Amino acid sequence: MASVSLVHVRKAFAGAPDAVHDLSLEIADGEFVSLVGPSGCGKSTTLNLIAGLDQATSGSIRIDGKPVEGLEPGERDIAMVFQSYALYPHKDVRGNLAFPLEVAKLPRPEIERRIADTAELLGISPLLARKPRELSGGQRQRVALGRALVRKPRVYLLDEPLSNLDAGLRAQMRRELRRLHHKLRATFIYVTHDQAEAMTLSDRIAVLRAGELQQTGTPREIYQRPANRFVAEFFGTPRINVVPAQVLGLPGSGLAGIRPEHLEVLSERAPGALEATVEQAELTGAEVWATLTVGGESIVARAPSDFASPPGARVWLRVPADRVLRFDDETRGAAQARL
Amino acid sequence: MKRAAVLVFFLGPLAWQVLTSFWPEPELTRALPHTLTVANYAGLGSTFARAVLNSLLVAAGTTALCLAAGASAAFAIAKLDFPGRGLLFGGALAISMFPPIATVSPLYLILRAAGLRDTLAGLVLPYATFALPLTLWLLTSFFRDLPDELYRAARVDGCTPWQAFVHVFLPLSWPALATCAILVFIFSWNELLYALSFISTPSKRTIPVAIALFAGEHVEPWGQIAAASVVATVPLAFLTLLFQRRIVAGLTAGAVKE
Repeated sequence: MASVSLVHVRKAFAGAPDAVHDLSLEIADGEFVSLVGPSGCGKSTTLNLIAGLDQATSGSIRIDGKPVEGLEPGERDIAMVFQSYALYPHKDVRGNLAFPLEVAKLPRPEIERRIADTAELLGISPLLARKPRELSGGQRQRVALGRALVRKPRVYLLDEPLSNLDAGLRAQMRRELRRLHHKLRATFIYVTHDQAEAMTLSDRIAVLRAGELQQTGTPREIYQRPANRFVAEFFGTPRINVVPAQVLGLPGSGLAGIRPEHLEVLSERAPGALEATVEQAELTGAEVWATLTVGGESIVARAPSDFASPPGARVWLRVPADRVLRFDDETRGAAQARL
Repeated sequence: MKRAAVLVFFLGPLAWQVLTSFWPEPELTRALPHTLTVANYAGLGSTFARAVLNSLLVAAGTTALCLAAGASAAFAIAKLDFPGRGLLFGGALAISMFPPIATVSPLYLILRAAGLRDTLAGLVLPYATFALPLTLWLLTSFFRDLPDELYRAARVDGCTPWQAFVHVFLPLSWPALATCAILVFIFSWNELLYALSFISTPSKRTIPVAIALFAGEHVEPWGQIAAASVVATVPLAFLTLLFQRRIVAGLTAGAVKE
């Protein structure tokens, strides 16, 4: 078990803007931290730097307080799970699990014992004699996880491990990962572009954009108190509504954001409610996402599942003032959000 | 019909050669032989047997050297990041652009200075030099096609780059290695120019040289030449069939999600 700290880490590739720019991040022992952002935000690069597969241009990375620059990936006591699983195709499952231990020259009985334990933990014991090509996607995923677990590393690095699975399996593996983390109490660093995955799995989330850290916080903090418009829009589906403040009947210039589930759609005029026109309504089952036009802006609001106003109908929208996020003028880059 | 024409086009000369090798020498002027004989094979003698052995040694040596150097270099070019790798790749290709005849004189001088003139090792080295670019080209593109994540997984699992090559990439590259081996072997087996220029002792001649020098001053022993050619072709056909079984597609299936 170990803490991981990134101190002013910068990674530049020749002829391109910094892939990671002045990133400082403290990850506590046993914490599950997700690095989240759209593709190209530097999250995978960061993971490679921690793994030692790539060298930082400047700055320092420490595992348990000790700088790891100059240490080979194999010497850092980390394990990594890859998006493509990267199983060794010529080895059977047992061979895949054994490989990191064989490279580390562990005694044979110890290797066998660990393989048995890991296979048991992940429920892949019946698959030990199979080759990767004979496994389903979910089974390959488990083996890839097993190859990391079998080493009992101090830090687990996971690079979009679930993005190749179908939706049902992904949800199941998500729970499994959560269970494993709880059981192992090891440090997990998880890279994903899927905000829902990050929300459900993480103790803490670090949001990256174009190589720069936007915000760190618990999923709740990130969702409820986003640092800026980018973070606010990245988390939550449907996306947060961001419109000029006057549209919502609020004082001041600048932009205001309100999440669809915080809006209340009324069929009759009420004091303080805004007049709106229905553009369309999408029934998802438990609720309806209604797209409304207010003051020339499109706003999505959650309505009860019996919402049945046809397009063009007039409705009223109640905006709870305590749920509104204010964004400063977007021309100033990473604008601050405030409640 | 088309297929038959293609078959005749490719196999016709070969069949004719095989037939000629069993054709009694005195009957060669006829349209077809009355009887068949193995006299042409029997007449090849121990000198030719020696040439076969020499060719085997040279071709096997070249293939081994080429694969050892080519596979490790190709892996480095495909998966490792080091300065000058583009230059190395381009340089190796540039070597193959030289017409061999232009290099005969300088190579002769180099080999003589190194004491390798008129030795089989003196053939292996230049053969390997000329076959290496092709090997490098084939294997580099093969290694490039193997996923990078496989290399990174091996590194995280504690491998040095060399261990990743030996334990992960080499076992996956049998199909490509087999292809290269066949091509290099055929090239060395058939090479005439260098073998004719650098070898003077009759007992060190390779098959192409031996066949070329069959013709005497007054006679062309066509039957024997045909028999020798058949002997030269059989190992190649055998080798190709042998390796063909190893060229199994889809060896990497299941490594990554396609």
